[in-house]
Amino acid sequence: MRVSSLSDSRVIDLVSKYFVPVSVSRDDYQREPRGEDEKAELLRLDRERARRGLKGGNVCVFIIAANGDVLATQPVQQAYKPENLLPLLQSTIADQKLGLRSEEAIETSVAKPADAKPKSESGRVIHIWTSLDSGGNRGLSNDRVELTAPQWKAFLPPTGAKAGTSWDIPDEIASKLFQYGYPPGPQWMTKDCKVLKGTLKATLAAVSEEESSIELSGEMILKFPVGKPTEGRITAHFVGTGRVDRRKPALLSLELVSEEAEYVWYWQGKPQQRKLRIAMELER
Amino acid sequence: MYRGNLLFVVALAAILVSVALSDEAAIHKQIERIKDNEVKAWRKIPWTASLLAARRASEREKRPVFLFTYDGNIETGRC
Repeated sequence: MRVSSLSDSRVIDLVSKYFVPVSVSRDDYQREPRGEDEKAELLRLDRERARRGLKGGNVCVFIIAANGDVLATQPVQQAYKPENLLPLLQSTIADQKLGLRSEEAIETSVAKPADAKPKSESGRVIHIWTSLDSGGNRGLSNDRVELTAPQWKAFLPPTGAKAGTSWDIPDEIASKLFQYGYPPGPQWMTKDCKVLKGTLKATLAAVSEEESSIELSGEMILKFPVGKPTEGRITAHFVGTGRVDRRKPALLSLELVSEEAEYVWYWQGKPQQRKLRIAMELER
Repeated sequence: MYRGNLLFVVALAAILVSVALSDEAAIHKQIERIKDNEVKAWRKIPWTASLLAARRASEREKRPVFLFTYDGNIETGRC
């Protein structure tokens, strides 16, 4: 839905101009849990949909009247195609004789951007993006992982180190990042992923009075289950760079990118392969 | 002899810094290329913060709610 009908300009136009749009994660994955009132309202809508014999499912579009009645639904199997969703929107607009939403009304109800600050004052956030190179566009995953001060300090060169000195980033820190190196899409449970191998090595590349630069290399093997009994696996080699403020000392930048990342899973006993790209970057 | 060694060391350091910079630029370029795959259009929709807030706006404006329910997290592309 995200990369198909919800990103179709005609759908965006109608949903934005004629409806009050809201999206709800049923499992609050990676989100603050919803309140009881919100859960109760979703349950009421699900029950009314079922009572009226309308199609549904976890991933579903609901059109809800101002009085709270469920006017129509369209499950993802249909709604992901704009040619199915558009007629539903158009017929609702016509039946309800809807006029355009005012700019003021939109301004009043639109969600404010989420606070992107690290949870702890000394923490640093790493963004992790993954993208499949083939097999349909599932867009980009964009996870944020916060490293604690002791964790990001593991990337700083040891005191007195000279160019050419190498050190290992502890496996638990590398694994904390690699845990998110799986493709975007409907299988998303990070906790189901298991880092089978996660190594990162840093090398001091150059030193000046104010800054030092580091180079990084790493290996990742990530188990990524995609339904029973299949088992996905991602293997990747990483290269990266970073810059360190020697006076503070602090990380100024950190970037890692995969080379030859591959995602393999099994369908009816046969291996299926896709190229994957993974990027990581320190939030500045 | 000493002056020659010093020049050699300075030149080597300059080459190392230059190689480091070019690696950094190349890696940064690759990362930007990956980030370009993001499908952002759905973010143009003026999503309301919560279902209850949407229901209140719907009552106020006398117009329907477009509710999209899903599993996962649409913000992170994990859905």
